[in-house]
Amino acid sequence: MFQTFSTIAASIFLEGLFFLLIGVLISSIIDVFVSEDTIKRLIPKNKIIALLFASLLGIIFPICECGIVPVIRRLLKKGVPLHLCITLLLSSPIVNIVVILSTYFAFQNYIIVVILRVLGGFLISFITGLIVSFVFSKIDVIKDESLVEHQHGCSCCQGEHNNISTSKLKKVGQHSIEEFFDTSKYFIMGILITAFLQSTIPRSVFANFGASFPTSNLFMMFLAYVLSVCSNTDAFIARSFIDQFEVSALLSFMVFGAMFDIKTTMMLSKIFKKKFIFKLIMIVVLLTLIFSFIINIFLMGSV
Amino acid sequence: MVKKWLDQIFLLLLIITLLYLEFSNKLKLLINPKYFTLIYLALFILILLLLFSIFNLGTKVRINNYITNYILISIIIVLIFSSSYSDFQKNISEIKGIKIGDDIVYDEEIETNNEELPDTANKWGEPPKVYLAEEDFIKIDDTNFYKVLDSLYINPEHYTGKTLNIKGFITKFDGLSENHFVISRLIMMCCAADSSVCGLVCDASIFDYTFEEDGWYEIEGVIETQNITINSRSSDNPVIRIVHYNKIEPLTDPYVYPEFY
Repeated sequence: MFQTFSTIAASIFLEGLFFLLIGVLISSIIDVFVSEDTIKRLIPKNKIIALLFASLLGIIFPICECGIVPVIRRLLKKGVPLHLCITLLLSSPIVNIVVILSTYFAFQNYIIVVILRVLGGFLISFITGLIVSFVFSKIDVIKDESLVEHQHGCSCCQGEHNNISTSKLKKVGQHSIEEFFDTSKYFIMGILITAFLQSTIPRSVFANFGASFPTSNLFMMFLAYVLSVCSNTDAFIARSFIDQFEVSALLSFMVFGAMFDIKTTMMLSKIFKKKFIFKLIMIVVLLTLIFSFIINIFLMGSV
Repeated sequence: MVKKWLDQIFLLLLIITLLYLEFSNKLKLLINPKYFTLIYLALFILILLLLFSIFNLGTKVRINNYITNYILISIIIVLIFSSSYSDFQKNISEIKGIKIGDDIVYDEEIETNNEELPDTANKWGEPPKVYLAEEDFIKIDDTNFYKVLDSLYINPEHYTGKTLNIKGFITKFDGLSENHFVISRLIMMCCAADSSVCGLVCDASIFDYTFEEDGWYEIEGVIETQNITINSRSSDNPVIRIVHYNKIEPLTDPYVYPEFY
C-alpha cells in the first residue's frame, strides 16, 4: 500500500512541478515589473467587459490550476477586484491554448467536445465572477490581510523595491524562491491527501453511480476533484472514460476538475477563508450541473 | 540568513532528485515520456532559482517559520525515492479494477444496477475504428497495445480467426472460469496516478497448467468470440484461445503509453 501511495504522490508532484514553478515566476514578474497603476489602466471600467476580459485572458496567459493560484494572489495584492481574480482563476485552466490543444489531441474525432469544454469554462467562470461581484466583498473573504489593504512589504525584500542597487531580475529571483516554498506547502499537502485517497479507496465504491444525469456528472466531478490531474492533461483521462459515460459527464470532469481539485483547494486556503472556498465550489458544481443539463437537452436529446 | 541556506539546500535536493529520476530511468515509471520536457524545464527553472539564491546571499531576508514547508518538501523527496513499481501493478488492479472493453471489473463482486448501458457508439456518433484488422497475424507491442485492444473491443468481428501475439501479466476476477484469465498491461495516460489495468480475456482450456496470477507471459492464440460473464452480465466478448505460451521476465518498462488515432 505504501508503494502505491508513494508512487501516486511522486507522480502527481512531478506532473505539477513545472506549472507551479511557471506560476511563481509569472507571479514574481508581475510583482516586480507591473505596477498597480498599469494594472488599473489595463482593466476595463465596465464590469461586464472586465469579466469578459478576465475570462478570455487565459488564451494569452496559458497557466493551469497550480500556476494560477500564486498569480491571482499577486493580482489581489496589486488591487485587482476579487470577482476578476476569481474569473481568471476559473477560466485560465480551461480557456487556455495548451489545454485547448491537449483536449483536441485527446478527442480528435469529436471536435464538439473541445468546443463545449471551452464554452463551459468560459461561461461558468464568467457567471461565477458575476455572482461573486454581487455577493462577496474582498474584505470578508480574504484570509491574508496583506492582500486586502495593499501594504508594500512582500515577505522577501521588505522596503527594498526602492533600492536602485538591487536589480529587478534579482528581485524576481527572490520573490520566486519565496513564493515557491510558500505555495509548495499547500501543493504538497493536497498531493498527500489525493494520494492517500487514491491508494486506499477502491473504485468499486463508486461503481453504482450509474451512467445517467445527474449522478454520473456528480461522480465525475468528485473523481476529478480527488484525482487532481493537471488541466493540461486531464482530457486524456476523460478520453479513457469515453465508453462508460455520457458526453456531459466527461465535460463535468474536464470543466469542474480543471477549476478545482484537492491540491488547488489547499493552495487557495492560504488566500481565502474556508467558508468562501466552500461556497465557491458549490457555485461551480451547480453551474457545471446546469451546463451539463443543457448539453443533455439540446445536443443529445436526452437527460 | 539561515533560511536562505535552507532554501538553497532544498532547491539543490529537488534538483538532485530530478536528476536521479532521469539518470536511473525511474522517471518513465512515474510520468509518461511525452511529458519529460516539462520535467527538464522544471529542472532548468530550479537551477535558475538556486543560482539566484546563491548570488543574492548578501540581501536581507525575513526569517520566518518555514519548518512546515521544508518538512513537506522532505516528505515528497523521500516519497519520490521510495516510489517503486513492485506491488504497484497488483495494488492498482485491486483498487481501480481491470478494464475489459467497455467494462471495469473489480476484485470483489459488486451489485450492479441492471439498467441498459447507453449505446456509446450512437451517443458519440463514433466512426468505426479498425486497426491492423487486415493482417492475419497481429503482434501486439507497446506502441500498438491500446489501439489494437480499443479496435478489437469495438469491432470483434473484424478480428475473429486471426492469430494474435501479446505480452503481459495475468489478472483474474470473479466470474471467470478456471481456464480463463486476463492478459493485462498497465496503461499510463499522463502519470502513474492515472494508470489503470487494461486487458484481453484468454482461454487456456487446452493446457493442463495453472497460469500464475501477476506472472508475466507471452501468449499466442486465435481470436474467437465467447460468452463471458462480466459484472454479472453475460455477453459475447473477444477471447484469445491460447495455442502457445511462454513465461517471461517482467518487461523493463511495464507501462503502455497509449497513442490515440
